[in-house]
Amino acid sequence: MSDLPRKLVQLDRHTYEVIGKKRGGMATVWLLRRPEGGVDATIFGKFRAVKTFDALEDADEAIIENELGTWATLNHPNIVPLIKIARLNFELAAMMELMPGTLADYMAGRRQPVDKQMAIAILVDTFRALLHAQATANIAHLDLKPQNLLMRSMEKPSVKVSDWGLSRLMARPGRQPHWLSDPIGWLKGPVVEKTQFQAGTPIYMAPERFSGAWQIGPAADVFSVGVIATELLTGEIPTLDESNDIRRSVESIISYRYLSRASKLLARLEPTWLRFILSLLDPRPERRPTDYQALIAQCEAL
Amino acid sequence: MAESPNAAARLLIGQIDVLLAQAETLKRLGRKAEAARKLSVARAISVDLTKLEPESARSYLTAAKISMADGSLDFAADMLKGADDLTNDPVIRHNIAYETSLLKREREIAGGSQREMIYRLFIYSCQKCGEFVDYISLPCHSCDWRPTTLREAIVSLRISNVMMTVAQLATIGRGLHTGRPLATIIPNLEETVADDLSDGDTRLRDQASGALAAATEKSIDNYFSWRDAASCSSCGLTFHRYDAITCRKCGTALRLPPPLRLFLCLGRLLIHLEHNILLRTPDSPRQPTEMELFAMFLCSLHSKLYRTQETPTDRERSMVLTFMESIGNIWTENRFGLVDCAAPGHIVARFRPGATDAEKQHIESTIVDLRDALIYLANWMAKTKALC
Repeated sequence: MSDLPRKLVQLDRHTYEVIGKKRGGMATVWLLRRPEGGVDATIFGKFRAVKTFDALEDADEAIIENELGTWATLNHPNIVPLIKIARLNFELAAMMELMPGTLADYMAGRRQPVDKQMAIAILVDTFRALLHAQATANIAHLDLKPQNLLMRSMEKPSVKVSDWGLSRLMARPGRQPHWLSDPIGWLKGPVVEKTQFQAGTPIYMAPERFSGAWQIGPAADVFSVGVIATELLTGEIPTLDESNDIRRSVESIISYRYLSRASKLLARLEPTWLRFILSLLDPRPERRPTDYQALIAQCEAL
Repeated sequence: MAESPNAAARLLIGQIDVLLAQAETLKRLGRKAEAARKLSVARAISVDLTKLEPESARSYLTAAKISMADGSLDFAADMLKGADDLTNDPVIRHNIAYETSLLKREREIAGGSQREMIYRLFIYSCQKCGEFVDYISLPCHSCDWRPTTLREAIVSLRISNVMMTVAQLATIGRGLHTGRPLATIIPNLEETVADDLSDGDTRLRDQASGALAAATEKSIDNYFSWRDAASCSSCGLTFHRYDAITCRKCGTALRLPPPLRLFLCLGRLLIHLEHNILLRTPDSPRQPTEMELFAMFLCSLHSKLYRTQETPTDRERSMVLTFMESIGNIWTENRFGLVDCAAPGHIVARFRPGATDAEKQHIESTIVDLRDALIYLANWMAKTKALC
């Protein structure tokens, strides 16, 4: 028997079939394919990935456009290009090229740490992307995590960074990032009840981001890279509590307990690796290295 | 392994297309300097492409797209002509045709008034439901019908504003809406179309054939999302009100993106224009009235949203407001009442002086609904921030 017809969507003036849909937080990623016989007209190629944003108020569109516009200015081999701000079924949509998968998918498929060469390649790619964004548009990413590092191919250790500027959108007053709706309800707890912070993914967020005042800048992204580096090399997320409880994890970040866990996890690596990654995970932002050129050189020397 | 020239050219073209799309997005956001930077990079890459394939249609087409993006329309036209002469590849020819139609539109915008463009718009009445549509090659936004035979395409051309006034089209639409067959609304239709099919003058037949060919070519893109987008996520009920906040069946809160609200509002206004509004005063000459031009313009904006999801440009927005100011009073068909939109910031509904209670009762809900839709339209055009 032949397959059932796939759901169709309208992307600007083109029809696409939906071959995948991933919901996360406040956005949905649509994996799209042109129907058989469709002409691949310029940027409306055979395969596309498109991100739409959930539960927007009318006034939000202009803000989203502005943030996405900043992403569109970035042009670098290690940055997933935002091709166009389009409309998917009348919703504002960030149109991107379809990549083979995320670093998170890759890690899940492997079920073991990656080798050091691969880790270096991924860290260097990420720092290069961050350097470019800082140098050309003066922006920080603020939501770095394996889900936002897209693999160029599932065989080669090379990534492109996606989702620029979106964490700032989600941090707007009145907006609830997805993990705030977590049934665990950790935000209501005493530790973080009165804090305000930039939205992101808590287990990749630096300690200062859970305090009232913090400076948006590279230090926050460097911390996230430190978490990713640990995860790549040990298979464990140092900031994630062993019980997998988000609230406890946040408490562990705020109380700096994650450091001892990171040290234990990284203990089997050479001292140079240990020192390098722990410097990225330093609880004090001013002590983290933030010169991306130097970080790239350090990585390559590892 | 080294890439073949073909693959290398494709890669360059892909990069240029992305840069052009980014430049367009940035331009629409008003970030002109950043858009110009993208165009400069695209231009630099196109030099490499030209070196790689100096005499290929793809190089010419790419040069045309870059020229069009930076406003060099004459050069773009030359490049498109050159591209057309160099290829028989159907995909490239399709892209050339698309860019040529865009160039035509750009030239009209650059060279003439938008008003002249409105004069040239085509509006048809859908043969099945009577709604105004502006592309016979596409399915009707309301009932999905489109002509599939030469005869049907000729009939569609016959019931267009090229052959009739917009007011006459509205009369046809009202007739179809009440269930009357087209042949009884236009008594000599059969005879006229039979002549068209056998006439020595083939222009109408050629036009109809062209529309049918275009319909076949575009049929892969015939999924239009407005009905799905304007459906309740809980119960699936399609809603038609631009001001809907909750589903009237299940009470679920609705969220409609601004362009979809505008689409529904324009649809509502077109229904008013077709069924309730006086489009033409008796004994006026055959030249379109201001009200008819306004109807055509709204129809084209509605169609653009339906086909491409594109919202009106700044120029089109101000044109809508200018139309409203110049039209002033929009009278109902029975002249019992009017909506005064001379000041788009203060639109009011009024009964005609001396209207009887029965007349007022008859018309009240219509003029109130029309007034509200016009207020929404004016606000959208003046205030709503949505990427066009």
